[in-house]
Amino acid sequence: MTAEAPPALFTRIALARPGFHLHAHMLLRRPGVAALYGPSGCGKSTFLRCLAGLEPACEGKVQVGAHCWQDSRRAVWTPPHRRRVGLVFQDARLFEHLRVKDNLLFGARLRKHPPKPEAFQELVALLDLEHLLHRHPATLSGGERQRVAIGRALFSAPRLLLLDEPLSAVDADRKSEILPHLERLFAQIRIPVVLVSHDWQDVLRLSSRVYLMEAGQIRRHGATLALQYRLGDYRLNALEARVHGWNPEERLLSLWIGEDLVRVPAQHPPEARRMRLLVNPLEVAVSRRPVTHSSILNVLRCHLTALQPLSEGRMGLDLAGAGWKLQAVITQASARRLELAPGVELYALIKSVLVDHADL
Amino acid sequence: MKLLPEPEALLLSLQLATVTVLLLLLLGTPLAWWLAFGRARWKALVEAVVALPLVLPPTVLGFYLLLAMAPDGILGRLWKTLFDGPLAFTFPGLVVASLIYSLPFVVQPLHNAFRSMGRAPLEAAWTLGSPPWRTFWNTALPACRHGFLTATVLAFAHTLGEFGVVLMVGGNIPGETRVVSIAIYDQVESLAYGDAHRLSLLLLGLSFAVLLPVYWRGRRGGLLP
Repeated sequence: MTAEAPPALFTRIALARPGFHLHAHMLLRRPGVAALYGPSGCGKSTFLRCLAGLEPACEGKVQVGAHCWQDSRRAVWTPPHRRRVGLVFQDARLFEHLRVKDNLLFGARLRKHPPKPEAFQELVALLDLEHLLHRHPATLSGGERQRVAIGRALFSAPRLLLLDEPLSAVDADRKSEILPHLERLFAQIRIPVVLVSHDWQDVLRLSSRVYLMEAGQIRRHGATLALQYRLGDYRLNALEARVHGWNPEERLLSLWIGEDLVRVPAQHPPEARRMRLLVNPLEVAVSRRPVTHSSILNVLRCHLTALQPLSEGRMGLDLAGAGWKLQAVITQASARRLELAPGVELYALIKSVLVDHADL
Repeated sequence: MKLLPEPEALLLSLQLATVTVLLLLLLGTPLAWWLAFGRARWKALVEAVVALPLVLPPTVLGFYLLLAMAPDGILGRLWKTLFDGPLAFTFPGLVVASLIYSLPFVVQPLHNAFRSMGRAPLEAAWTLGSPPWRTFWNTALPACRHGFLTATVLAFAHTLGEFGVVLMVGGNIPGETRVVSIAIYDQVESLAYGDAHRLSLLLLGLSFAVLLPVYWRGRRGGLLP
């Protein structure tokens, strides 16, 4: 990708209403899923409505790839029906007079590029809608309605997909029914996606980049995983690693951190020679003796350089190994039981390691 | 004595009701749309004016209409310039009077239907690429079909049964303004009870048959809010 290529999504907008001021920006360099996270009523839905052109009073700029939909300074304003935007409303908003199949094809028929039969079948299968095609929306469950709404938005061939709390209208059981569909969908999608959510677990599971919104303002943004650990009193460990090799039978990638070798599950051989590994400090355990008969792949020798008590009865440990440093968070009770003190020799048990893909 | 007395009056009533309903749907739909989605502050004023014929005695309405339709009245003069003919005591005059008399019966069910539909389905249609005008046909019309059915039926039945206004502005000219309700009144006046019975029963049956489908489907988009 050259430096001149336009970003997948650029937006900087403002909307003033009595008692409420929305002022938000978002930049996605490449297609992918960005989450907009924040408490209810902070302006997340209004932000999506602005992007879709449903708030005529919205000022600012909205650009999707090479297409400028809105630019107040140049008096550019595209009405919603010409924005090529897929907006999945929180309440699905299916057309009650149309069967599921006709709901799905509503946008495709208007935009005069009906999907090829294979493409139709593929998405219908992905969203698990085959058995619902001839039903009326009134007979569907909340989860089914949401899946139809997502399919309907996608068949209209959008250049930007906006999802407003797609999981909030459904109960916990239905949620676990939709989540895998969304994950599979997002893995294949080639357009920018903005997902609004007030549930951090959903954000973690579905997005690679997150914007935190509060009272109509973006407070912070960044890679989802990186941001997660800046929210508490401990941070995500980021480790610079050199690729050693990839084992196609075990599907394991081995990497050097300092002078130690770690192994990470990977479906494909690596594209880069260097990469950043992310380690959640909550997923690092320590032992005073070497651990051999366990499922943990990475057990690294190190010593304790410092410890400090954290909130909620936790203890932060600063560990130093052969050319690497790591923070672990354990309970204060465990720290007492193991009689931890600076200088003690330890083994770090790293339960999971993530390769940082978050640079959208 | 014929089995069907006054076929001419019956035909005229049906003609009047049909023309009135078609014109009212044409005029009432945009008015109801504006009442439901417009942002003007003086909407309440328009709503009250539209509802007036519901409470006003038909004779009062008819009296004012008669004055307006007189050759030197505002409507009468306008009509004369446009079509070079009188308005009072003619079929077009009856249509104009019926439009005003039956307006709330079209506007209120449509207003309620549009309001209960809300903007939500319209917004969904727009984001899927449907321009506003097409959205009326592919989304609003099907979503509010019961409201349209109610409006059509109520306005038709109400126009069929109007009496006071017709008597004031139309009089009793056979083939021109003598509708069924006037004919029945005339027959009772001249003690022709047999004919009055047959015509009344016919009107009763017709009105019932027209109203039944509206209430059969429940009260969605009904007359009352």
